[in-house]
Amino acid sequence: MKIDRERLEMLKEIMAVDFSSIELNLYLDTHPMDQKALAIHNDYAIKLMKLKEEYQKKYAPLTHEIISKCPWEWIEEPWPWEIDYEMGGR
Amino acid sequence: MNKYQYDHNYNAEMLVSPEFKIPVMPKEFELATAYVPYQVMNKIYEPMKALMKGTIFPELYRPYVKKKHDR
Amino acid sequence: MWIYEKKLQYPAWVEGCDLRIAKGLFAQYGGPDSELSAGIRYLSQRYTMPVKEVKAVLTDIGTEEMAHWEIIATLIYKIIDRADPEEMKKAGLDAQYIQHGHDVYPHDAAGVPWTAAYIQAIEDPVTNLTEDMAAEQKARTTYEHLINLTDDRGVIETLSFLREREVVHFQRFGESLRMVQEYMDKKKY
Repeated sequence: MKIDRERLEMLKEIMAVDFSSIELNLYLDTHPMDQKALAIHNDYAIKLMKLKEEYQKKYAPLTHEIISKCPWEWIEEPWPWEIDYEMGGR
Repeated sequence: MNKYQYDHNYNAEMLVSPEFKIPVMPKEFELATAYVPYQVMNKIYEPMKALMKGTIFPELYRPYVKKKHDR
Repeated sequence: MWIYEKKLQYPAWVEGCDLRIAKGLFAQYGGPDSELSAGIRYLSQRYTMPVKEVKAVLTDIGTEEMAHWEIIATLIYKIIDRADPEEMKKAGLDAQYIQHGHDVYPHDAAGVPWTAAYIQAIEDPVTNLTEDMAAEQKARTTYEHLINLTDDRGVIETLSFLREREVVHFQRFGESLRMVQEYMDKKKY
């Protein structure tokens, strides 16, 4: 299922920043005193919060923790495995 | 293949926690014990580049080259 | 507890319809060295881990493996969803079609259902972490074998991402082992 071009771009940006955040999360688990890593992680955390808020407001919920319109938005398609991520053209 | 070089002024001992004194590789070690060198973060990839590579750390990036019938 | 986030960790994609590799992908969905094995293994070991940093590592990597399990299911689903029974039969997926239709059921590449016998959790933290490091190597190798068997660009790119994650996880478990060894050393005195 294809989604709107702008929505797909924002979703990919969220995936990328979230991934960097998880990588730093794992690194910090074994290096909890690395202040440089902590600072970068916290920067990404702020950026991620903003991106997710914008995405959820404009397009669709990412978690069930939403203030939803009627009908209940959480159930809406496409679900993640149904999306055509349009990676073939690169 | 590149062996990872550490800037020895920036060692892992300071990064772990007050309870553990862990160097990148121990000077004193024991037999029958496995040691993986402790990573020390240096530079990281930009998010989209990192996502495509599978890691934010250049020193951990180990791409696989597909085998071409060379048995 | 677990919260589901309605996105994949990676934009998984397939270029065409390589049904044969779909059969192989089950190795990483419900096989011995699959993402499912990894996730359940690490999440099971975290309760008795005496070092708090490693409780975090096991929880976080265990959770990430379940997200990878979802990516494998997505690849399989994208390939087989539109295949009709004849096409599935030609690709050697007839047992899969008969017993599960197009459902992504947790069995291995040969159809053997997943079992907890694939994992171990034995309380000794050195033993558990050594098992985890071996698991990451086995997963990495399985990905290399899968990549060798397909030319589908989407499958290769997605599997390359998952393979690189195993390299990073091995590093984190290696660091966890170093901490655990320090901890066990200190306990002796």
